[in-house]
Amino acid sequence: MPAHIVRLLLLLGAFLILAVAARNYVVDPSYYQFGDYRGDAVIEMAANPSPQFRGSAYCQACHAQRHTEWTAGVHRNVKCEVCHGAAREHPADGPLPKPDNTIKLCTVCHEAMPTRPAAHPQIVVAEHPVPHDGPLQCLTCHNPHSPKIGGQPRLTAAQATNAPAATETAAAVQLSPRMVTLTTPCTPCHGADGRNSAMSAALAGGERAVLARKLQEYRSGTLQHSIMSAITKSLSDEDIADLAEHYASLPGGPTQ
Amino acid sequence: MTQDSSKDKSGRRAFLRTAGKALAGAMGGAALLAESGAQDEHIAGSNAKTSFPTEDYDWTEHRWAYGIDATRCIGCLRCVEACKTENDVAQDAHHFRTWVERYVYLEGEERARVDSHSDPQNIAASGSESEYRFDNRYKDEKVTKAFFVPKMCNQCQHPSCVQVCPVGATFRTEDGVVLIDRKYCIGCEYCVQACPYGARFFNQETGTSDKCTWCYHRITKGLQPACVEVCPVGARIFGDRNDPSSSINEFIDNNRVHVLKPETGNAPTCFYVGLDKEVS
Repeated sequence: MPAHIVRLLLLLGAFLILAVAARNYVVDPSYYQFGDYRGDAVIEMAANPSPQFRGSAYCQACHAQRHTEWTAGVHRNVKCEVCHGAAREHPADGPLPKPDNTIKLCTVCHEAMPTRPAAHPQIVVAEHPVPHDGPLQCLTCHNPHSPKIGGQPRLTAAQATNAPAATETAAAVQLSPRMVTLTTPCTPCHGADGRNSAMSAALAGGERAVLARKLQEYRSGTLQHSIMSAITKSLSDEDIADLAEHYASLPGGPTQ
Repeated sequence: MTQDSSKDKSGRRAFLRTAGKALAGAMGGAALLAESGAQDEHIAGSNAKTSFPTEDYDWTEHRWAYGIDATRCIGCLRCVEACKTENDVAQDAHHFRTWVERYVYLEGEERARVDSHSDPQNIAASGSESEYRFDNRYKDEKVTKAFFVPKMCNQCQHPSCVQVCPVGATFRTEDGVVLIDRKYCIGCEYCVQACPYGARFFNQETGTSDKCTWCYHRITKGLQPACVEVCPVGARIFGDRNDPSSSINEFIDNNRVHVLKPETGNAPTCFYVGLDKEVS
C-alpha cells in the first residue's frame, strides 16, 4: 500500500479516536438516558424553583379562625393567595400585604362585563350602593372572607388570632350567632353599640316600633337609600323585629 | 499470470496489514465507547433503585392533562399574575406563559373582536405592566356574544417544537410535559416559530426559549400548577389521567371536550370546553 494512503488511514483512525473521546467528554452523561435530551434537566426542573404559592392549607396552620370564617362563606373557592398574594416564605419573610385598594381588587372579578358568565356576581360600579362620603371601599359593608351581606361576620384581627371559636366570640359580646349574622351589615356604619357619632341619629335606645317601621320602609322601597335599600332587601319580618328589638335594648346616649 | 498472482498476494498482505491496523483503531474506539456505555449503565443502575426525577415522585406513574372550561372564565387574570410570580417571568405585559383572550361579537359584526391583557387599553386600565385586568370597553356596546378563553402551552403528544429543536434542548417527559433545558438551549427560536399555538416566547434574561411547564416543580411535589391554584371560578382543571377519580378525568368524561387546532396532528393534552368557531 502506498505510504500516503497509510498516512491517510492513520490520520483517519486518530481522528476517529479523538472524535469519540471528545464526544464522550462534551456530551452530558445523562444525555441519552431517556431520549435525545439531558435526563438531568428533568431533575433540575423538578427541583427549581421552590413553590411560591403554598395553598390555603399552609395558611390554615396558623390562621385557623380565618380559615373557618372563609370556608363558611361564598368565597370559599377563592384561595387565600388570590387576594393576599403568594405566601412564599411567610411568616419568615414578614407579613403579607393586606389589599388596601379593595375597590380595585374586588372589581377585577366583580365589575359587570358583557364577557363574564351571567351567573357570576357582578356589579355596575357606578350604580352600586356606597356610603355617602369617605373612601368608598367594599369592606365597609362586605366581609371579604364571606362577602354575601348577612353571611359570616368578619372576625377582627384579635378574634382571628386569639378566639378559640366563633361562637365563643359571639358569646363574649352577648349576642346569639343569629344576631351576630344579622347585625354584621349594620355595624360598619352604625357601630357595634349602635351609637356611631357619624350617623345622623343613634340606633341604640331608639323606639323599637320606629326602628322596625324604618327597616320595613327601606325594604319595601318607600324609603330609598343606596345602602339601606340593598341591605334590607333580604330581611324577613322576623329579622326586622329582632333587629329593632336588639338596637332598642342597647343603652342610648351620646357616643363614648 | 504469475505476476498477477504475486500482485494479488502483495495486495492481500497489504490489505491484511491495513485491516489489522484498522481493527486496532476500532478496538481503541470501542474501548472508549464501552467506557461511555458503562457510564450509561451506571446512571440507569442508580435510577433503577430510586424513582425519577425526585425521590418521592416517579414520572412513569403519572399522565398529566389540563382542562379549561371557557364558560366559567371571568377574565380576572389572576392566573397570568400568579404564573409570573411562580415562575419568575418578566414583569411586563409582553412576556407570559399563559394568557387570556377576550372574544366579543358585536351586533351586526361577523367576526369576533379579540384582545388580551397585553392590549394597550387593558394595560392603561390596570395602570401597570405588572398587574393585569381587562378594561370595560364593551359595557355600552350591543354585545351579541362574548367570552374569555385562557390559553397556554398545550403540552402536545407530538410537539412540533421538540421536532425542530436542533440541540435536544426541548423534550417531552414520561409524564407528559414538554420542558426546555436551559443549559442546552441556544436561543435559536426555531421552536417559537414552530409552535402552532404561539405558546413559546424568547426570554431575554436567560437567552433561551421559555414556556409553560405546568409548574413542573409544583406538580412533582403533589401541588397544582399556580394558575389552577389561584383560579377563583374553577375554569382551570389539572390532574392525572392515570388516576380514575381525578378531577381532570371527571372533566373529560362529563364534557364534550375540544383541543385547539386538531388538524395540526400535535395532539394537545389541554382540553377545552366552551370554544367557539373563531377560537384556535
